[in-house]
Amino acid sequence: MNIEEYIMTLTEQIQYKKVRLEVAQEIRNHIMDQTQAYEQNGIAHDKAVEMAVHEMGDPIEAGMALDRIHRPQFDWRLFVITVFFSVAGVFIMYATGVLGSESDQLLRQCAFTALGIGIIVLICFADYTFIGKYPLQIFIIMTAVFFIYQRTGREINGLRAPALRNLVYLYVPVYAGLLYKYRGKGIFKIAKPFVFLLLTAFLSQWLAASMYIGLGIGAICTFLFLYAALKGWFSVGMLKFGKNQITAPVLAVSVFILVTLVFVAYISCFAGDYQKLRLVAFLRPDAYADENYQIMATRRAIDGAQIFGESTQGTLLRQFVQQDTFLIFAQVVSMYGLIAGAAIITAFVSLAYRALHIVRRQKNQLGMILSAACFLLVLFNCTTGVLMNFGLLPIGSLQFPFLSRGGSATIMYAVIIGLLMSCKRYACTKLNHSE
Amino acid sequence: MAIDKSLISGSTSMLILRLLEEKDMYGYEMIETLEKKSNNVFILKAGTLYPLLHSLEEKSYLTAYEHEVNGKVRKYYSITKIGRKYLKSKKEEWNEYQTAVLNVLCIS
Repeated sequence: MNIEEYIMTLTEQIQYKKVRLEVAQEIRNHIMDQTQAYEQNGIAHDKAVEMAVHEMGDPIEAGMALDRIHRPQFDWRLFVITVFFSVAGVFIMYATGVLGSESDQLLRQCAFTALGIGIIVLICFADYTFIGKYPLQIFIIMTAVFFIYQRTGREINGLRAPALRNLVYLYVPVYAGLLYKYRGKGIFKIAKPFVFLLLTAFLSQWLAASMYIGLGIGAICTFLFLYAALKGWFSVGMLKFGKNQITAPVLAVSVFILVTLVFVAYISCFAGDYQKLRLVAFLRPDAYADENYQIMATRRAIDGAQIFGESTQGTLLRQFVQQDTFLIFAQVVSMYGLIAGAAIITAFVSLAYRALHIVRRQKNQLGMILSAACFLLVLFNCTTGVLMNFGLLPIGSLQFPFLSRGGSATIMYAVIIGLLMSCKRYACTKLNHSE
Repeated sequence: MAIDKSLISGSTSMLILRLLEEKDMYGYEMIETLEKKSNNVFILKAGTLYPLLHSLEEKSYLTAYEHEVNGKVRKYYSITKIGRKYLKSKKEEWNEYQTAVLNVLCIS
């Protein structure tokens, strides 16, 4: 058996084709090193190769052992968590009145949940690396589709194409792909992801017609950018400012300050009067009780919450919860007590914890940044949503995972969880530097 | 003296991690070093070593990176913090086992 025959026999045992090349290169190097060692001892080349190959051991046995290690894994834990909490979420939404009182709404939500689970499985089996290969194309196509939808979508409660309020969150994983594509040395490589960061935040705000969503997505993408910078993706040690070298933490802090300044300038120049009023009202809730009716009602309901059972201050009006689905948290606490609220937070923590576990197991940079994007999105929405319910953040617009009403939010979270599962499934994928 | 291989098979991961505790190495280098350090007692087959290295990497005890030496791209392995912890517990387990065996042998 010659070197190539040995390698072919060994790699044929490995089902996951993406790792075959990497294994082949490592094994080939080993045989060549061994051959060289034999040749240095005076053995002829052909004989040395034969002996080196023989020395390797059984290729089928080794290949099967490697196959067991590199077999794509289905993340059953995340899948079971998702299915369990999604089903529980539908019932909670029905019980709290989020879905309205008609039974066809419940059926519709059940259908969306089933569709979401199907999407998770579909994306899990798809190869996530295409986001790293074609992020710009995906970004352009997605923006074009969203734009057409914004212009042609149905108007509901005075808002055209409200589904975009959830779908724009899909910019986050695409931005992760862009960061991966533009990683590398030089100031221009930093400029591109930074421009896309601002563009993503602006487009999200404009398409969703929500400043809160634009700022939220901008904040998530800023964290991603800082994460990539701190991981040394932009080789910032190579950049010089005068005589001083710019280090990753300095760059991270500079970007953070710059983005904050852009945010403050944006608020003071472009935010509508009602948005400014909302901020001021949040800081002085008692003086602006009319503008703050939601925060006041939510705080009252939570203040009177008991460990079990209904709040002493009564529950929230059903119209509030139907209008702003994320107030479901305060509604659950006011209807069923603090224990029920703790159960919801536990569900969010288990999802975020599992997502973080997937981030930490990634072997390549794309898997790492993509799973980090999904993790940050889940963490950000759950944290800000819970804080809003406690009246600790101004009321914005968002939906919780598992407790999201309607098709768009369910589908958006399904794509995010599907991407996490795909990252986990192909965690051992090693990408070429050129990819 | 010929050594019964089953005596050592369960502890190969401990030996590999111990080698990597000193410096980062590539596969062939590990086999050579292990052979030298054990006076030719531990002769590991490559077919055993690579699945073991990949499974240790999968468990996050090791990380791997590529480095070019003399025009050849080699895959180097490096021990992680979790790997060091695991090695420490394996060493303690081994010492306990060794003491137990010695105690029994001394009695007889």
